[in-house]
Order: sequence, then C-alpha cells, then structure tokens
Amino acid sequence: MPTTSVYYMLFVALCGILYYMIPDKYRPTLLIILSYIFYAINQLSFVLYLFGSTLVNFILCNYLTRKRWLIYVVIPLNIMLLAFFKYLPPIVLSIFTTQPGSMWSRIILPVGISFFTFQAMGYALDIYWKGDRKRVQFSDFILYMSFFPQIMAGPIARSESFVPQIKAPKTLNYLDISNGLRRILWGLFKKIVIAENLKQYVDAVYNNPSMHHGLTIIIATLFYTFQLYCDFSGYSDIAIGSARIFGFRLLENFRVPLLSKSISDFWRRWHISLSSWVRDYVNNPIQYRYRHLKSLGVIIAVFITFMIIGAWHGPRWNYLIFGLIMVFAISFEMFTKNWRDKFWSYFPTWLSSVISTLIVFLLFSFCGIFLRADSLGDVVLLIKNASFSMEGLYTGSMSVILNAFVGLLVLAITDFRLIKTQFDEFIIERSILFRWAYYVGLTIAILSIGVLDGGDFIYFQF
Amino acid sequence: MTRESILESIITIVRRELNNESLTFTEDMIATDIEGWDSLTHMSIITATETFFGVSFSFMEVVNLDKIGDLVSLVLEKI
Repeated sequence: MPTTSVYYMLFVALCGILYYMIPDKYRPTLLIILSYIFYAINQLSFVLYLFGSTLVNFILCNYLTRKRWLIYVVIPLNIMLLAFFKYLPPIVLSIFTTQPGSMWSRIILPVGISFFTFQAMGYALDIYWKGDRKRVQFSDFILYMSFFPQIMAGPIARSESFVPQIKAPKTLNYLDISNGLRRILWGLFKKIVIAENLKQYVDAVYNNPSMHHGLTIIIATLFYTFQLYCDFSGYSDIAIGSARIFGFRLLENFRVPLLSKSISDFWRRWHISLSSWVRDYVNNPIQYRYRHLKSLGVIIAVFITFMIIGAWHGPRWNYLIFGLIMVFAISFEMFTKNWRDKFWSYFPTWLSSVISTLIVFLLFSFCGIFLRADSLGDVVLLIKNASFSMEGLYTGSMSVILNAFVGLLVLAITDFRLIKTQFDEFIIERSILFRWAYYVGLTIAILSIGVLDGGDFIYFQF
Repeated sequence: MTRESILESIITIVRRELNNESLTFTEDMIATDIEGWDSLTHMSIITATETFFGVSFSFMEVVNLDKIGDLVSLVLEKI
C-alpha cells in the first residue's frame, strides 16, 4: 500500500476515526493492532519476523544492565540479520549463476527492516550506556518498533522521544489534525508533482546511459538531486503528518538541506534521523575513543560513520564511493575552516553564502550519480560523457518538464521560508486566504499535473 | 575547588573552544541551549575540560550528562 495511494489515505482516515472513538487507555493497543494490519497488508510473510525481532530484542535488552556482555549479542545479531537480507542474496547471485527461482533469488527484503533494526539497536545502546531508566514496557516497545506511519522508511525513532508520547493523554484537537493533514498534502505535492515528473526525465537518461551525452547528463543529474530530495522528504512529510493525526510528533527528517552552506551542515539537515543516529551511536563513541588523536580521531570517526551510511544503503561499490567523497569533503572543510573564514571575511556575507550553497549543491548532485547509476561502469560512462555540449540534447516531454518546474517554483518559495521557521508555523502565520489558496493550489496541482500512478518511494528499497 | 569555581573554569573553557568571549551559562542549562555547543563542538569541549582539570571521563559518563550542573558534579567527583 504506497503511502501516496487513496487506499493509504482511507486507511489513515478510518484508523483516525476508530482511534478517537475509543477511550484513551485503549488507543496504544489499537495502534499496535493497526500497525500490524498495515504491515500484513504490505508484506504478510514477514509479520512474524517483525514480531520475532521485537520480542528477542526486548528480552535481551531487559537483561542488559545486569549482563552487560549481552550487548555483544544484541548488536551483532541485528547486524547479521540485516546483512543476511540485504547483502547475502545479491552477493551470492553475483558470484554464482543460480537457476531462476532458486532459494537466493527468492529472498526478499522485509519492509522497513533497515529502519526498525536501527531502532532496536538504538534502544539497546541507550540501555547499555544510560541504564535501566531507559527501559520501557513491552507494549510500548511493540508500538515503538511497528508504528505504521514510520515503519516503511522512517524517520528512525528514538525510544526516549517516542515512548513518552504513547503515555501522554490524547484528545481530538484541531491543531493535530490540521497540521497532520497539511503536512500530508505538502508531502504528496513534493512526491507526485515534483519527484514523479522529474523521474521520467532522469529514468530516461540513467536507464540508458550509453544513449546520452553532453548537457543531457548534467540536466538529468541536477534533476535527480531534486527528485531524490522531493521523493524522500515527501515520504517523510506524509509519515510525520500521519503520525500527527494520532497525536505523535516524529523526528524531522529534512531541514532545507539543498540550501546548506557546508557538507557538515548538509548532514545536519539531510535524512536527519539516520545521520543523528549514526552520529550518536557510531561517530561519537569512536571520536571519543580516539580523542587524544585530535583531528585524526575525528577523521577516523567520520570515515567509519560514512562507510556505515554507505553500507546501510546496500551492497554496491557506488554507495561506498559516495561515502568516501563525503569523508574527503568533511575533512577538507575541517582542515581549511580557519583559512576559508579568513578568505571569506574579505567578501560580503551574502556572496559567501551564495557561493558556498552552490558548491555544496553541485557536490551533492555529483555524488547523486553514484546513488542513481546502476553500476560503477555506468558512473564512469556518465561522468566521461557529461559536458556542456547541447548536441543531441534530450528534451523528453516538455509538458512533463514544465509541470516539474511549476512544482520546483513552489518548492523554492516554500523552502526559502523554511530556513528560519517550521512548516506548520510558516502556514499558520499566513492569512486564511493564503492558507486556503495554498491548499487548493497544491490539491489542483496534484490532481492535474501530478503523476498519480508513479512508483514507490526510492527509500523503500533500503 | 568549589562548584562555583569549577563552573567559572568551564565557562572559560567553553568561551575559548567556541571562540565567543561574551558567552555565559548556568548549571541548570543544557548544552544545546548554548549557542555553538553542538554535537561537533561537544567532544572538543569535553576533551579541553579533561585536560584543564587533569581528569579523564568515560564515554558512559559523558553520554549521561544532561545539564551543565552534571558536568560540574562529575569534575568535582574526579578531582
């Protein structure tokens, strides 16, 4: 059930009505049932896996404060299971020529495994480092692991911010519902109008890299940056909005990342729930361990962190190279900070902001080639053939590009406002006329120029 | 050393690490309330605090610091 579908909207509406019809004390139980129904609708065969993972992690974590060695069981166990589903089948299939329909080609990835496994490991490490005060009840842990708005692709929740919300009394209130609905609408607009229209051009080029050259590759690469941003942040908006309807506030996953002024700043704004997870549970312990090495310690920690982010995306060299480029960029920024600050002090602030933002945007777009291309060979081919030559320029469907540009214009206007404020505040502070014009405009755009039968979200594959 | 003098020293360390001479804070505040004290500068502040007081903190002790007052208590416990 894609979260852009009418069925998902009906599911949320029906769940919302049921949720507020019953007494407050039964609502967490209802949400668990609804979350498991949602998971079963999407992937019935792995419902037991989800429950099994929840049960085993909970039991092991319960003994963690008394038997601290169990952390060396919990973390490797979760990593091994994740690696089994994500890495083993593609590796086996690439090494051995197996017959069609063999066991290895039939292993599929459980929906949301990367996300709920990281939540389980985060919970275990919280108890390991912070003790019993971080332990939660089993019923709360089940919901923490399965909450349906976020199970497919995050945002990755933290037990310390999610679990207290389960206990908090909830009443049907206008603010939660209206904020939730407009956030879903904004997410749908980004996914259906912008990402899906841009996808048509990007797919045409990236699925046939040998057929294209010159400016076409540069345009497709820049389009992919916006497609990826609108696809994933659009999904996150729908997840955050859906959760808000049930009175839950999920972690923000994006904070205008394409306007970042440095790569370090970019990673504080892009896929925040993953980048803050690896920062707190991977980067910080390593950085602390090697703090006597000063800058070298930081680089070792950043290197391991980005290798994990790269590996998390899947078993492809492209992702590891993407991670390596990020390590080089962050190391460069760290070592040249004083020099760069001195250099930019001779220029007006606005000029340094514009140029820095442009550099970060272009570097991330370049890295996007590694994320989107199907193989390392395709990456080399695309980079080799890219130029500013307009010869043989692929124009695609002009109406599709125009539709995408309309969407990008609305995105630019909104995102520039979101530098200093949150989405909800940006809308609430406007006049009633603006607000309704905005809602009606987004809805008309979705229905008239949106690609309603588009595919799944990019991050569902992770 | 008293709590007050430890807090004064920590304020001096943080001012130096964050390059902000006008910065000040109290024991009730949390690190993220302080301008410039984020996850990236956190480690350098903790390391500078260890060096200044000649003490060593474990990672577990550091992640359990909620407020500035907790850092003061930890230093007081170690010296």
